[in-house]
Amino acid sequence: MNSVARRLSRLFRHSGFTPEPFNNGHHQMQKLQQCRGIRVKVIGGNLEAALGLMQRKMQSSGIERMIKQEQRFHIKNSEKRVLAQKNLERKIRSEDLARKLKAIMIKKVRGL
Amino acid sequence: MYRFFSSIRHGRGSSLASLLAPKPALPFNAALRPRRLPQNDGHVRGFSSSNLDWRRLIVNQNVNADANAHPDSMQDIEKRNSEKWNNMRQNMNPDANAPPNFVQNRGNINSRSWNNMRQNVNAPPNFMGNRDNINSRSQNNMDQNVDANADALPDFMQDKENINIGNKNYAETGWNSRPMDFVRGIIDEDNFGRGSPYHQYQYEQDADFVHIKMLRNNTFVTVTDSKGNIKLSGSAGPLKDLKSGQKLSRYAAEATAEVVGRKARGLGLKSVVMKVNGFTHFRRKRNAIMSWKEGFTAGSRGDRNPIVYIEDTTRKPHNGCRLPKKRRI
Repeated sequence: MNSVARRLSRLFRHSGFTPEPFNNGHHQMQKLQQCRGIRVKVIGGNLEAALGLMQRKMQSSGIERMIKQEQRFHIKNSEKRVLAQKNLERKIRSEDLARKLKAIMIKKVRGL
Repeated sequence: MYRFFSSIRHGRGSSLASLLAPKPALPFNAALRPRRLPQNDGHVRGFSSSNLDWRRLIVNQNVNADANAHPDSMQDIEKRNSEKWNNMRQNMNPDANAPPNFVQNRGNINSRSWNNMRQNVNAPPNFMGNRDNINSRSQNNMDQNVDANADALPDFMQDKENINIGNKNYAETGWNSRPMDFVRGIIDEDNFGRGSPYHQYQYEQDADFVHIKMLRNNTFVTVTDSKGNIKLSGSAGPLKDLKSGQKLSRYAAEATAEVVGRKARGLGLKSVVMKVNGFTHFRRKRNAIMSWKEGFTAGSRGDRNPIVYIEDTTRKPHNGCRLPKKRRI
């Protein structure tokens, strides 16, 4: 039933934003499974335009943010708790410093 | 000119009167045609040659007249009949292929008129020349009779002569004997026009793939066909110029892609789909793609860009397997 439903949905789905597999015709799974990723067509051999379009698509999709927040090693839950506390303290300290600087600047300006 | 035309008219009238002997005339036509053609050619080509021919004919006539008076008269009668039937046959031929025969007949008439003009210029030889022509025709008639007696040979000769004459007719008239060639040309042009979209479709569908796998410290570039069979592959390891450390990891992708692109130039790739896979910033991916293209098109300015699609196949699991433990330095 699931395979039949997928085929029927595939018949009616013709959106331009979903990358569909190339017509290889020899691989059975490619027909049933939707392709993943971002695909851009190079029109008229203009590679620069295609690359620019791809960059915009990747940024809008959020993959760039995931790359920035990459996590390469496993972290224990206890370590996560400690790290969170440290981050919070650092945040509070920076806010206090900002508030002090602001007061000093105001005092200076009024003094003049 | 006018005398010549009047003589032709009289000939036709006599032919109509003498309808009783049409059958033996058929072989006569075949025999006459090849013999008349060379004479016409000789006359048309040069004046001196025509003069020589007339002199020879004059001599022949004199001999014939002196030798036999009565046979000459008989020959004259036969000549007239043959001439008439020849005219009739010529008329028949135009019915089959009207334009070329008509043009040929006109050509013959013109040649005769010119001959007459020359004869007029020289009165005595002209008169003698006319008689010579008649004699020559009688001789032709005699030869024709001989051909008629031999059934097999004249048929074969007739066929050959007909073929040759037909070709000459077309050549002289300038007709295009193959009208279908024009039609075929038009059809070919249409097919050529129609073929281009099909070619483009194939060109996009049967594209080859270039897989670029970018890891943190290494890069793999593989060229495959549309079915996934590997044609060419390369990686950052074999590169000699790169050294270990930060430099290798920073420029490994660009260098590897350029090397593989240069190698792939010899594979005859027409259309390529770039598939980039790697959890890195887009700037590095862009540089890798551009390097591959530069390597492929290096050395030939006019070469076009074979890249048809750019695809990013980077995937990241949602809370997948447990990551490795942190390294203790």
